[in-house]
Amino acid sequence: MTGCSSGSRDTPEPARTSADGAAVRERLLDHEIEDAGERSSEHKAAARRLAERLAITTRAVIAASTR
Amino acid sequence: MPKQLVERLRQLLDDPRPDVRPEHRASAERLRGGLWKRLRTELHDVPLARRSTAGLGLDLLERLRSGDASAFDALFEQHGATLLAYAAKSLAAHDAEDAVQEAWLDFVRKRESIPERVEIARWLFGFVRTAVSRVQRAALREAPLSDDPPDADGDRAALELLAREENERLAKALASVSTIEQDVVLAFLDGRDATEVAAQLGLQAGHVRVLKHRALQRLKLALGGDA
Repeated sequence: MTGCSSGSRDTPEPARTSADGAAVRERLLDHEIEDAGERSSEHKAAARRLAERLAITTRAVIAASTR
Repeated sequence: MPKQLVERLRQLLDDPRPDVRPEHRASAERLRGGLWKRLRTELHDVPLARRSTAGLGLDLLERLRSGDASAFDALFEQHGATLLAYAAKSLAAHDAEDAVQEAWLDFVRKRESIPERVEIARWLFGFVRTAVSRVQRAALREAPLSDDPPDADGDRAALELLAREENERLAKALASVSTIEQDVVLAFLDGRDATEVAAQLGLQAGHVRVLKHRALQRLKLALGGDA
């Protein structure tokens, strides 16, 4: 992290580096994937319904755009 | 880091080393724990391009690109419920389903532009994240602004503490707030002010300050009240 201030009322001091920002976003995604994986069993039924809804639409999209 | 090397390091760290003298065993155990933790942290820093492609789901992506619709079924079977769980953290059930549906269709439409050697699950989460954020921003634009502005001084102090937080702890705490709140806090931590964040997210500055305030309250709790 680096020390940097723009003097703005809403700006934190010190600001974090872009590398910090990228690292936090990357690890945040890891945590989100892990957390969602742990809760996924609660959403199985909704996922099945959604898969049925999406099956036809997806096939139409694939058929229309396949190389 | 090659998988074999990781496995060998794991074996070495897990090796009970019978020749360690009893009086040194506790120190050795602490050292082993520290090394293993560091190894795991460093593994997360390995660029995606250097990770193994095994298990990334690229075979399914290739099949999808070639027009094999059953690859979509397989991908949805693997990730559908997890993505719904992710969206449902920030949205009501009905909106979460709509956001996930929109994300899947986006993913299928843009399948040709997804780069090789990138884990498909991460891309799917990225698409859902974008859809969730879009729904949340649209709802916020409809919401009236409170006449009672949040405590600016308190929030600035909390944000300064957060800016000094270790990346890993911060990432874990951010996972406890909604997608739009994450976007707001991360933008402030990147050094932007409320006006800039509002412009970036297409919201009013007042909404941004309220989101920041709400997120900081939750982050304080997630970090044990020390941020």
